[in-house]
Amino acid sequence: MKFKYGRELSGLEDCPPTYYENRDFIAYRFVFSDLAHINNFLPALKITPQRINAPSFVSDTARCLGFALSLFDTVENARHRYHQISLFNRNFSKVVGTHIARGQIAAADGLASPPDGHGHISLHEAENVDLAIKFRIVEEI
Amino acid sequence: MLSTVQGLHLPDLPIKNRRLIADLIYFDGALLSYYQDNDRRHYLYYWCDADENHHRWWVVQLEEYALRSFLARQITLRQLLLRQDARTDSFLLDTDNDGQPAQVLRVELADLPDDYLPADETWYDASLSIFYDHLAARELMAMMQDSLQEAQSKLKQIEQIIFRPIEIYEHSPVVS
Repeated sequence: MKFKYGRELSGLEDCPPTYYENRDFIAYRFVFSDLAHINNFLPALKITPQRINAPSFVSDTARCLGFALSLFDTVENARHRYHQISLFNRNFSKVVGTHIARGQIAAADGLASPPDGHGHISLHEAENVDLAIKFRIVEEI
Repeated sequence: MLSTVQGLHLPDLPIKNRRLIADLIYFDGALLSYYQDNDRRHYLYYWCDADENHHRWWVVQLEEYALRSFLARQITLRQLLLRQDARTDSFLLDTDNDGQPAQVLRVELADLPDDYLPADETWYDASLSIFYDHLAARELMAMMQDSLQEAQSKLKQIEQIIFRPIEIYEHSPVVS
């Protein structure tokens, strides 16, 4: 599979990790209310590429994650994580958005991690995939 | 536009040779990072705001005991950052899109907008954290362990007081 950010991933060790898989699933993502917002379907290191030099992105593992999209497996898990982080960082909405969108991910759309204990999934998108047309806003958070 | 905050302008942060120990809160990037410097001073970089061109961090130098209490879930992040005895210094750092410092202010807590402070019920949750190396993770676990041992020892002392045989109370002087 060719990846949307294949050039950036190519020098990174075990990226995407070998345990990531192609699968069909319903996914939820934090977005801004305007679904055309430029950051809605960009991974962290494409929103601000210069952050690759920040201490948090020194390792290949962290850089690899930085080119993956954050998704959730259920709307409840997405809502819970959002509210939890918003207690800690009350302006969290300024970076991730104010709404939750829902979309169907197909196996051909990329390689996804299994959901972690809080339903978070990382997706490395395949080349030429446009997730913006697959997602619809389901609620304001 | 970021809010204007009163403070003393500095050319740079007075923190040298910092080492990232862990991102205590991480979602698509660091939101609360724990650093140490060569003199084992402890700093939290707490993300508090952003606009199109800048990210703003509240950088707080903390006493180790206070940080331990937070990691052991004895106090919340809000309590940690608001405790005057826990904070030894406090700065606002604005970084541009290249990650370079655009402005550094030495600030007082009273001058910060309310939404720059964490809410109540912000108990440490390790599931939000990322540890970058085994050594750092072990170091942090040891801090949590020490705090838990302290807490357990205090709990034992309290239990000993509560479960003292009744005759001790009977012969104890009563303070009026």
